[in-house]
Amino acid sequence: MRWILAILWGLLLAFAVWGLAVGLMLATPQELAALMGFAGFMLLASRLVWGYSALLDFIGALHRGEEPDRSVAEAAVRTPQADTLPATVLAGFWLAALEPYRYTFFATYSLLLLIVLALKLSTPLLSAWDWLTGGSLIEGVFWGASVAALIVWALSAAAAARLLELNARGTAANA
Amino acid sequence: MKQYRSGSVQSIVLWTLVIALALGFALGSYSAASRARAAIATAEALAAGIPPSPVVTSARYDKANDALVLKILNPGLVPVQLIDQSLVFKPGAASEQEAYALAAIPLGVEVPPLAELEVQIKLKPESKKLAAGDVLAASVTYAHPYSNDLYMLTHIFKVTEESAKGKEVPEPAQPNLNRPKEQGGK
Repeated sequence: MRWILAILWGLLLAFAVWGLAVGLMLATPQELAALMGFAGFMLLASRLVWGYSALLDFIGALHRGEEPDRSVAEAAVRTPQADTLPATVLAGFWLAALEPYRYTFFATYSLLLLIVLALKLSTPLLSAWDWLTGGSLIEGVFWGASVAALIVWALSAAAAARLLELNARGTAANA
Repeated sequence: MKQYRSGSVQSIVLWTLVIALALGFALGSYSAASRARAAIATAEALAAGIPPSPVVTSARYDKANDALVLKILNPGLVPVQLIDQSLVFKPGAASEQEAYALAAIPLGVEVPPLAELEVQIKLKPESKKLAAGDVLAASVTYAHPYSNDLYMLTHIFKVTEESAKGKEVPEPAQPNLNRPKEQGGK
């Protein structure tokens, strides 16, 4: 049974690698640029993606009334008194600790947006066809980065909203 | 706590879905456009490699200038040099003009890619006006950049009552294997 599973898993991996290789060979340079943009910005956002995911887990546990694992949160907040903070406050500090990375990410993304917009606007709108299919590689990087930006924005907004819900509930309970 | 970022989780999920749809559309359009671009570049490269072959799209007899005027289309993507022209005249029953041939009269015209232009082929000076039943065979030699050879295009012009007055005779739109029989039209 284990051997059959191992062989099936190996086949699946082999097919995945083969499909990926064929896809990369058939891709246009613009599509590869978009893939590179996505990969690059996901690398820039990795800290945010992992951070917000763990924060959402932390807040989710608080929502369910469970005791969350505080060790990751305390490491992320990096304050000497982190172990004395209540869990809700710790979550808020954690959200604030991720803010510089979020700022850096969106600053880089805005820079890319400005470059792409400048290139687009400096191209005379002679024919719609040329404008749409200009084949600019930096534009592909921008579209790939946009997917990463959407992921980061959705995670950060969701974490903030979930924390807000938790605080609103706590305020209502205390009142 | 101050609400420094507004929005409930539900609205964030909804907005994320809406933006994801729009972003997917944009990314898909960009990818499709890049593919269309590549396909057109390939087709263009293929078409540019085909040696051009000029086509006579219509012919008329210019009575005032005593010339046969051919409209020549270059359907290829490289220019065609029209080098010289020849003319063979075969009289019909109604003609008073004897048969004659004019050979290798320099032309020196370039037909640009995908362009059409008119070429005047002068009849023999001081020859009689064309009459119905006469036949002209006009030949144009041409060259293109993919070969050092000379090619020849021959157009047979049968003079009818109408074309003798100078009316234009368009070629049939569809390639017609029976063309020699139908030449000259109605």
